[in-house]
Amino acid sequence: MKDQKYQEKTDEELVLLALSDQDVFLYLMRRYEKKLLSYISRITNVNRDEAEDILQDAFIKIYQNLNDFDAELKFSSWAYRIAHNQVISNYRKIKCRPQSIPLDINEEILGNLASDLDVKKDLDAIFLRENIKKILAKLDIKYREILILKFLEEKDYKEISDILKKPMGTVATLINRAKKEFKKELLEQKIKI
Amino acid sequence: MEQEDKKISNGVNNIAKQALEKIKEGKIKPKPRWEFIFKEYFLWFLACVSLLVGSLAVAVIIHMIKNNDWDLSEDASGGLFSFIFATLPYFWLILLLAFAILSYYNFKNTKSGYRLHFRLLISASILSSVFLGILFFNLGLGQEIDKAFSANLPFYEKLFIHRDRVWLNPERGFLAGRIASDVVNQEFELMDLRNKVWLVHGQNCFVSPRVNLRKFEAIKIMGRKADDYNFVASQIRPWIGPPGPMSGFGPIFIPMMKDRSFEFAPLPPGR
Repeated sequence: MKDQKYQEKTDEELVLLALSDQDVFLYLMRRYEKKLLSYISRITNVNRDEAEDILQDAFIKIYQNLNDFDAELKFSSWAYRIAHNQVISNYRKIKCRPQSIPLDINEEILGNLASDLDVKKDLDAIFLRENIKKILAKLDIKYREILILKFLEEKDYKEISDILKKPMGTVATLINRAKKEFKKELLEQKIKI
Repeated sequence: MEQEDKKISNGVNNIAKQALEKIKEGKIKPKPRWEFIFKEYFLWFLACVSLLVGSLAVAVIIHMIKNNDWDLSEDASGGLFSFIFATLPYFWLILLLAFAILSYYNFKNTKSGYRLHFRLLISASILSSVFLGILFFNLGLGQEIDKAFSANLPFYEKLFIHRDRVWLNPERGFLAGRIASDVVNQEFELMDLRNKVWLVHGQNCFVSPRVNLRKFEAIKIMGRKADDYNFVASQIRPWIGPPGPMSGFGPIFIPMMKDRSFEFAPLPPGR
């Protein structure tokens, strides 16, 4: 019954309630834990335990900063931003660690990515599916992250702008550059094979 | 894939619970709202202060450019470009740039500052500084600040050594410094910018109406070097600015700006 009551609330309402009742924060965390864990895993290449640690720290930061939440933003954008900042602050520590999580990409996302990158031939699409993680891992984090937000997390420009705290024009430029880098890397990987 | 999702779902429930336990165990509380409001206002305050300082720098830059000895550019430095290079107020230009960047940085770190593009923010910051700077200049603040810096900061004059070099050239007929003795029959001792003492003969020379020929007055002299000690003056100008109102540039935009006489910093004791 209680679960049902909170599940019907909006994120913003839960934020207000969580300020006076810590337990309500659990419902907010549950809404985003899967998405944020997946996002952290994708942009960092860390193993599962490390990704969970980062997420836990991010949740604590979100809780500590609840009063800073700006209702002009989507709560999800704000939560992603804090997760992004947590990843950046952990970046030095984690960037050399081995990757062990398989990238969960469904066919639809892969199709979108392939069409946006103008990968037309079937062979390229198959190659893309098999090597996307490897290619993304080769990219600079700023390109990797923006491609993940756009194509895997399926965020729009406004959301990406709010998550990365960059103007929308810069987001568009970064996406274009990231796509070029991705294609370049895709070609290089093919040549190696 | 379903299996993977299930695995993640099971795991993440624990993360949320563990995070909540950690919050409870550590008695972690949300930071108070006033802390964020204070930070936001403080950033806006710093951004406005940076803008204001940048504007004051612009006022001094205009004052210095306006009062430069443009009529002597050929004679003093051998060309307009070398004269501009020698007399640009680098200190104030760097200060303007530094505070424009600081202003940009503070605006950018406000809650919604990231939405504006770097070029837009930095251009707006510089343009606002220039606009306010022109206003401050016309209110006479440029001259007042320059005067106050000269009087109170010993390093300030050294920063303009390039500008001074134009007037440290007795061979070419340019000399500047401070009158070091009483003036008798337009003759007096002058301590130049390198602290060398000269005997200046100013009989029959043109003395700018803005110059008060008395001890400790800072002046610029045009003339010829007679020997290592004697200098014959043909024209005496105030330390800052052209010889008089008749040969200067007009005020910028606001025509009622007063022509203020410049007072140089007092001599340090023992000099």
